[in-house]
Amino acid sequence: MDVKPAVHGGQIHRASRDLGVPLSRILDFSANINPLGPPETVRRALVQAMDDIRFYPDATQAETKCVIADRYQVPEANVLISNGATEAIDLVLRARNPTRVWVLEPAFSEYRAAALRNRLAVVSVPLEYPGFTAPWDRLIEETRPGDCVIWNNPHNPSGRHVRRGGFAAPLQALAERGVAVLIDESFMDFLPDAVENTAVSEALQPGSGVVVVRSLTKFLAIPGLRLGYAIADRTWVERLERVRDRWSVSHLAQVAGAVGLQDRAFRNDTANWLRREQQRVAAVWGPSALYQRHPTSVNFFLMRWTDDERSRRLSQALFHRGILVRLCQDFSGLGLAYWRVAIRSPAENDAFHAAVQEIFQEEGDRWPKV
Amino acid sequence: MVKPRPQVDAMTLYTPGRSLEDARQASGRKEMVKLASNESLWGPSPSVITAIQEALPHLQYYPAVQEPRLREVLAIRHGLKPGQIVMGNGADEMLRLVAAAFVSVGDEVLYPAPSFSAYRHSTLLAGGVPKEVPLAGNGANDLEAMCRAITERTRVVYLCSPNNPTGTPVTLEAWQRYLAEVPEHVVTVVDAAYEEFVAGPEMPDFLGAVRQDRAIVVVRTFSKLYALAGLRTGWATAPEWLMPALLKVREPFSLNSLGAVAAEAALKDSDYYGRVRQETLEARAFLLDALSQRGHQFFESQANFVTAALPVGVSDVPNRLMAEGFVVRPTDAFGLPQHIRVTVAPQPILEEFLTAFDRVLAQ
Repeated sequence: MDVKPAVHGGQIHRASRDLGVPLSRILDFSANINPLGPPETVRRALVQAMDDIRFYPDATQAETKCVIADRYQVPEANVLISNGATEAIDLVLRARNPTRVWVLEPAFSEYRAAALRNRLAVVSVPLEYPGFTAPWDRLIEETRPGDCVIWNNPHNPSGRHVRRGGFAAPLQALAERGVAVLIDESFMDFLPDAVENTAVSEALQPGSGVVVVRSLTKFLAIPGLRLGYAIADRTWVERLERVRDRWSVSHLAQVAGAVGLQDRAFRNDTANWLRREQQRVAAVWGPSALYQRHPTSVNFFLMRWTDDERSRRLSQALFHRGILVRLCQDFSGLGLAYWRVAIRSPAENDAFHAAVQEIFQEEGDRWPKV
Repeated sequence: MVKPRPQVDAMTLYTPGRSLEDARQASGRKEMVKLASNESLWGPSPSVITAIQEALPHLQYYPAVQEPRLREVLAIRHGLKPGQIVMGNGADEMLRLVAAAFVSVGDEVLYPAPSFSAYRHSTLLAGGVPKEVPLAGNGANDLEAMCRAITERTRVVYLCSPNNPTGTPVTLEAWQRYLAEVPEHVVTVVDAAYEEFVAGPEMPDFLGAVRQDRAIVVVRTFSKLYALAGLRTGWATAPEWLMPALLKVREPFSLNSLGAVAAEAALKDSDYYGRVRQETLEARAFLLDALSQRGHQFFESQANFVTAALPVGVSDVPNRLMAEGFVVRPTDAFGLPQHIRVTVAPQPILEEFLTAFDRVLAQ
């Protein structure tokens, strides 16, 4: 069995142990978590829900499902609640058992890992540079009935997104070929106009092979709790339910989802923070001969240093100051020179930029010239 | 049109015990006692609740893939090495991982019947061929029959001890004979979810077989004695040579961080859980005795539930008990008709239950 453990951002536990400092002293730009969360409403609800942890969680996740269905205006029968988005991805592959899994890369490492866990053949398809656009024509041409394509929008790790007009027709063509498409929309909640960008209406078509998977852990800032969901044709939702572990979504995760998604103030605050910080981060980092910063639509951005060595030394120096970034050497098509950086609170974003400048001033002269 | 793998259509949706909310709606009663899912009505230790509350400010961090401190505490408690332990999302995930890692399409998988539905589910998911082995008359797994049923194609044997839904454990002698006879090409999974409630002398030492590097996976849970069912914390132990295969098929973040924090705190409060265990065993003895005095047939349970036969000709008992305020589990879905499974609760609750049960049967 050739399955390597996937590499993830958010290696904060290890950093905390290695550096001998508490978690709270580490600035983690490697995990793309909403710095405003978790919402206060969620914290309060969790304290109240504590008494019920002796009981098995609701295996139908009725309340959370109802809130999600209402929030995104989809019928409840089309919603599956999962133990993080990764469980939903696993379930889709487990139930469909596709002949080949076409992964559009660079991408979240769990797609490939989940395919290998399910003993499936993986075909890597490079996204087209510089916009990380999907080669739809090639997919329509080369995929066969029984295959599955995994694509994410907004794209992790570049932070770009594609509007519906850019993918609706290709999805239709793939569906007609009997090809399933799993679209990971884990960062969709960070876009101001999700309706214009989501594939939910494609997923809701009866008999559709499109499944939209989303994470609530990023937006609500509860990765410790694990909560995600899928939206699909109702017969597919039923099949996914059949292949799952019955109680995988913990009671507290269900409570957090149901309460957090109804918190309008938190949603508005998040939208305002992100709009402001996207602009500010763009201005602070500005153009430079040392790096290229990709434009982003969401709460992280991709940047490329001129060379691997500079990237390596800089990230190590940051690590020793308790600042973590996501090096992209394991993303297909990227490399050590690429960083994925979360957008965090104004103070943290400034501290990050200042730390990079300081390291350059203190050590940059001693580094090999490019 | 995209189709599911053929095994999916052969699977059925699990029928869980009724939730309290369900039962309240169906019965129209506000006060309901749930004795249907073997949750601990003693609840978790107060120190567990404190530990969870202290962890709430850290929800914005991903869980550790395998929480090292928790594995260490578990290892010390059970005389294992941390590398022999894998944490996961309840016992269910652990049970599924073994089939996912070891069963290829067409391989045979043996499991007892009637027993927990996850064995068949895990087998079908892996494309295996399910082979049911009937229980012995006393409700325990029939290990001799298991050994006889093993063929060249058998890759995994699931055992359940104490068995759910009978509560009967396998004996030390039967286990030792099984270990002597089971061929090397078979991985044996012991689902020991109710292990903490086993009290008899000379009981099998499943963990001992792991320490001896046998091809044994023992699956345990924090949902029962430790009263953490809502948090989904399960674990399995296996020899280190077997572990990489399990880890490779596991989703990295399947165990949430509060589940890990709660489990660690629970293991540190031996006083509380020692007391709960003792009270559970006393309440079980009380329930078995009361059923016996009333002339009911039941299995000699070593778990935190008791499964009793319903008198012939009596029907609809679970629903009528619900009208009396008690949710119990009919065992039909396990393949054991005309029985109910009742969770052992603090004795005053059981006394009220018995009064209601008497009333229902007298109607």
